Amino acid sequence: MTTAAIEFKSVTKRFPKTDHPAVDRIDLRIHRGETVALIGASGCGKTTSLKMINRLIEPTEGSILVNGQDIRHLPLLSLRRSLGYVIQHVGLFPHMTVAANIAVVPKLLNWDKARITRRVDELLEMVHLPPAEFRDRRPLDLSGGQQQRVGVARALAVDPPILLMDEPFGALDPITRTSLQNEILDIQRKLRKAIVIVTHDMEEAVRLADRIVVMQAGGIVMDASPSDILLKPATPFVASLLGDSRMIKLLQTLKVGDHATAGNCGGAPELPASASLHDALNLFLETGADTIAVRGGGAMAACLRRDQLFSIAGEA
Amino acid sequence: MSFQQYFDIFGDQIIRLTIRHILLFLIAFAAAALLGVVMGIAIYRVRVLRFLLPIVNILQTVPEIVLLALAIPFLGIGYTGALVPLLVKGILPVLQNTAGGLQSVRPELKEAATGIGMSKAQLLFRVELPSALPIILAGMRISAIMLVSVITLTAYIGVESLGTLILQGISRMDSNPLIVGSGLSALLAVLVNQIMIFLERRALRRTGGRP
Repeated sequence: MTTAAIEFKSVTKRFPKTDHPAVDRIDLRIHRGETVALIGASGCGKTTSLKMINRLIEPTEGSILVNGQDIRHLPLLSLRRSLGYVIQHVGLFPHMTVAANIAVVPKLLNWDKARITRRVDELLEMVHLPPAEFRDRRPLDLSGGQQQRVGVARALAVDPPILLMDEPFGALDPITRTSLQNEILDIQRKLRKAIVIVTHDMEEAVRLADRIVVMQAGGIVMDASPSDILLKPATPFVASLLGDSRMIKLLQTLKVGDHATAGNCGGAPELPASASLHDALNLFLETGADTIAVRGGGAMAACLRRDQLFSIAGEA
Repeated sequence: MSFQQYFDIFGDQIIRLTIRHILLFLIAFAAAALLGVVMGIAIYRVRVLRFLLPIVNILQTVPEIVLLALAIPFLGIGYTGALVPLLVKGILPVLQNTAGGLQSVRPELKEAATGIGMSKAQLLFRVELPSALPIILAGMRISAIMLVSVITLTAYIGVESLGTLILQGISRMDSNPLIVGSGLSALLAVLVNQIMIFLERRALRRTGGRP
């Protein structure tokens, strides 16, 4: 078995003067290239679990391994510097410029000046803030979305293999949130990190995560792929988290390429194999077509029929 | 004696006393600011030292002249007797604002700084102190204005300052030294206030108006 990027081994956290443990004997493995969402109501232990990874909170029992090493045996500061950390309130330092904020960890690691400047510009480009315009601005002159872009850039500054995100987009308006979520998907496609994201928003979890870990009262009640969570919620609680638009969310998680059948349907409207069934539904509705031609899903030509889509949607 | 004659005869003395006053102020203020910040940090960081804060608050309410008088039996008359009580009074607003300013730094800044791997010292010098700077400077301003005017009182215990002129004026019933002494002290106080306000505003702009 390969070493997990992060591994929880029967981890429990009890806070003083509380009856129930905040986190109760959880086991969890998160691999490189994988985005895992921890989701649940407030107080379910999701944020506590995240903060135990960078030791902002110490577990009461059990152990956590990062790249196979028990984090208690790693030097605390270098552990934290090797974990990208994004928080809901962004936490940019207001007395520093955007560039200085991004450069905090590289400076702590004594990178030379030229290397820091290069890296800052590279990261600003990556989060779509033109360096010439944003480098020397102050965080409080930026919009909430721009601030969190800088927050993400700061977390990625030294290219950490693991990214911890604590409700990173919770305070943003829906449009800004979506654009930042796309940014994360994009970054993850390029960089293949192990990302742990804490959220209470199922839509966000479905969009971003390869695996969703549903927590309740300190325990894990379901740990599965987004489509499994949507199709077969393990408990009524999980189902209640899914909300009203379950079918739409399900269609968003499924890829056209995985559900098309071989065949030739020349002349039909086209979609790439990586498009979601939700895109397909929109295309059916827009064009009134019965079939969609699927491009790029291997050597064979493939088609998706409208009744196929409806039968999948009917399951939800 | 006309004003003009007074200046011709006592001009050198006025300049000497003004310089004395400013020097005394700078020494007292620098020491008060430094000690105030250090003690403020200590009280913020070491929880057991919190018991000092109420004591500090009581000391703050004691009038300067009383502290000066109380110091005489212990420290005698002269520079030590003058500087120590001034220092005690000068430290307090700096200390209070340093401890309070650090306390009020937004928790998410501390969490972000700690989470990305700053040590306690790095957190203090790179995040907490710069964030609390406007509040600390406000404390220093209170301390500076107080010191620059209270230094006139040290003339009572034989320390030369612009207060010496005021005392001369009172004892000789002469309005010339009285006006020059009090006028120059007032001018210095206004000047100090303006400089500190300028620094405070600059720091506030940098932190975007909130610590």
